[in-house]
Amino acid sequence: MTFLRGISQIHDRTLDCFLRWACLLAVSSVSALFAQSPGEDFADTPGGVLEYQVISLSAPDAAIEAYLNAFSVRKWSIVMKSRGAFLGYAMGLELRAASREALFSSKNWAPAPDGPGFIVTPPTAALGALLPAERRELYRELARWSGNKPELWPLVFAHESVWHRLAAAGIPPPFLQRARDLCYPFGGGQALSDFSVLAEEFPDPEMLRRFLEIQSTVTTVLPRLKLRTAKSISETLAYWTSNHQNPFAQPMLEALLESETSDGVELISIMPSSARRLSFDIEPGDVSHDLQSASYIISANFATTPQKLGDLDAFDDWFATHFKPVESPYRYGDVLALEQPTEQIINYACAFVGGDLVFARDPVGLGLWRFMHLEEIIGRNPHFAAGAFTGLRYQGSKSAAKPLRN
Amino acid sequence: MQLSISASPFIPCQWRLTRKLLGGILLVSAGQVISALSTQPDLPLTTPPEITSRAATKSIEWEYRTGPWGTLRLREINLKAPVAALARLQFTETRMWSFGSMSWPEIQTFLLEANLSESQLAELFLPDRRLIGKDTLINGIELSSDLLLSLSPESRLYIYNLLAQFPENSDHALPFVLPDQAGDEQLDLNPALREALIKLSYYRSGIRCLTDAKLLVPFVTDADELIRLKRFLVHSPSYTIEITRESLLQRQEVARYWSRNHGKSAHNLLRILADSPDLAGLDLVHFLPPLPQGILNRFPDQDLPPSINCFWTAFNFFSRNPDHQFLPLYDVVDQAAHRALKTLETRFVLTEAPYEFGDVIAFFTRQGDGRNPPELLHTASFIVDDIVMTKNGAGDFKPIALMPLDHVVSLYAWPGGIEVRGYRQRP
Repeated sequence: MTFLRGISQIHDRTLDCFLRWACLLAVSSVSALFAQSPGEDFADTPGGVLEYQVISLSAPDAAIEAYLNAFSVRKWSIVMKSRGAFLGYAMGLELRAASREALFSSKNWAPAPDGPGFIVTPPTAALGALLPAERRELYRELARWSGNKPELWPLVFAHESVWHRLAAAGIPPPFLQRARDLCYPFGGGQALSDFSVLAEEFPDPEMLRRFLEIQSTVTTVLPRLKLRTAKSISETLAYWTSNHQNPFAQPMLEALLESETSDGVELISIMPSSARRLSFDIEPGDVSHDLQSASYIISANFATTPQKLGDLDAFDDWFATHFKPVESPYRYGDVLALEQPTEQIINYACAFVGGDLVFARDPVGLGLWRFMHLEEIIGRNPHFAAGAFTGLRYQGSKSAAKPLRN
Repeated sequence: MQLSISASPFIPCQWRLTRKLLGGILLVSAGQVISALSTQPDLPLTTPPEITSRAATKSIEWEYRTGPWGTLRLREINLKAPVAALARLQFTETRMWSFGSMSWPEIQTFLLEANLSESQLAELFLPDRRLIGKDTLINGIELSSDLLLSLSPESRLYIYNLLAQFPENSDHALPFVLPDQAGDEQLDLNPALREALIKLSYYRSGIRCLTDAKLLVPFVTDADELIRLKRFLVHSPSYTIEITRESLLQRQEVARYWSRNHGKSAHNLLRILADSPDLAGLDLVHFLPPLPQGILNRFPDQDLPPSINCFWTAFNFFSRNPDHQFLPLYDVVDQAAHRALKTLETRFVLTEAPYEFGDVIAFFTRQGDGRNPPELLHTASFIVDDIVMTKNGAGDFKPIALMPLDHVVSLYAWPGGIEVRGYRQRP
């Protein structure tokens, strides 16, 4: 599996990346982080106007329950050759000796059950005693392994207003204070990866659920398509069917072109099945994973019929064969793949919709699928810092960059 | 609904439809079948004319309905089958009437009471048109196209109601159901074709029917017109529906109504509405279980099993992993309806209206003579108010649509009528 090949590559480049990361984070734009403002309220596309309706979105109950179950006990994935190798490497991290010893005692280590490396179960007390700088240092490194979703895609607190919202929702002050203590600097805001500490110290499931629900609330957009503004039927049909390569939506579009209300139609009605199912949601089973391949697979479905492929390698091969780099302006169904100038760490892609809007998995927190502004994605997670999106268009058999997996 | 597709490996949804195809084969020799099929001209299929100008959009208003599901706003849409799917749709041969095991004197007596003209009777009674005991145990008559075209609507109805009793004549049992004749003037069809359409259509229990669609083909002037004709015959109205923010006035009741969806939480969806004051409504798609969420208002395509039918769609409504036993198999007698019936009997309980979200609505034949047990013709999924999600017949030219229950009933113009029963999955 490419997934595993990627893991071994990461091990080799870990030290080098560490230094680069420090630089990247330092130069990343603070103001761009956590941007949630919807900006423009419409986009003019070749297929008509997309009106952005501002909505408030919270994680669904099932996703919250899944997060609660998955991360009430913390386990780290460390994909290195031996405990000794990791300890040697960890000597370079600015961790207090006591923290290092408590977290990485040999009794906390076990071989990973289904792959290379180890699973470490850090004691809650040691986790809870880390200093913010230690968390930032250590979690930045843990984020290199996709098994560590809370470190790669932590719960973020972009603004002080999030804390006010939590307080207004009745979350007790001692809980909030403890949550603040467990946060560490993350781009221009703060992040929380140690939900497990809260879960152990405040074993009230209802309060934990409420905390996750309020914390996950974002302002986002719901696009409505107004076909009556389209200038040309043929151009409209071509745009929303990726130049007729994924024509399942054509009958619906033709029907809407014949008769439309002034309100238009929610874009979801012409989206592919997988995107319809995931919109504003996430499969509970996916909450605990960092399934980066999914972002490629779901995004590719916008341009072409879903592929019935057996494994990720087969998908990678198919994707590389059928998607070709393309310059902006993008069109509906183009896959925008994140590329980072340093090392490919996060394999992340989203589907271009129109204007500046993409259909994407929110790259922080529980990771809901929703519509996002492209700039919002880059600013949302410092692990994306200095990255840029490359357009890939479905067209024939010319080779495109094969998505790397970590 | 009598549709067949020339392209194998297609088997229609209802076993009765399959029997129709098989019946034709039983009735005539192989040579006759080839001859009959070859009467449909091999018209070159052209791509639809390039549309470059922006046609005027018909502006329509929302229709509102309120109930335990909340306040809905609906608009009707007309889903047009893809050209490629329509190209695969072939009309079946109806110039052979099967009278089952009726004797020739019985057939003669029946036809003499059908209000036919002398010349029509003379042709029907020609010895070389009789297929009495010829190679098969089924007795029938082979007809000319002219004779079929010349039948009066009254004679046609009288004869076709009898023919509908025999499984070989499934086009007579389940004809195409057409919009009312008043709309024919608007059809973009040549006058001769329109006239033939009017001649061949008849009314059964107030429903306009067409059995002999194949006889229209010689009147078609080109491939584009054939596509337009097929589109008219398989017209597929549907709805787009939104749950409006007025639903928040009865939030708990609405959340309870949609809570069976096994997908996105209705409670969460209503929270989006509550927390987003600018949002007028959310598309029904959000409130559906995962499978219907993906297929609503779509035609089967490469993403869906090509042979999905009403049973597969209705019985898998709540399934995350669809059960393919409801797809038609390549058996001599399609057992999909039998498997569906067995499933209804073992995993569902009969329920009365008002139905609940996801209930299976089953359409049974109403047998007038009481001799035959009711047959399961069709199933649909209850969505809301009087609206069901339905796949009316197999084939990729029929979408998964939202329709009023009464409208779906009218599409199954069974001579003895249709009995609708509701079923709810056992807990």
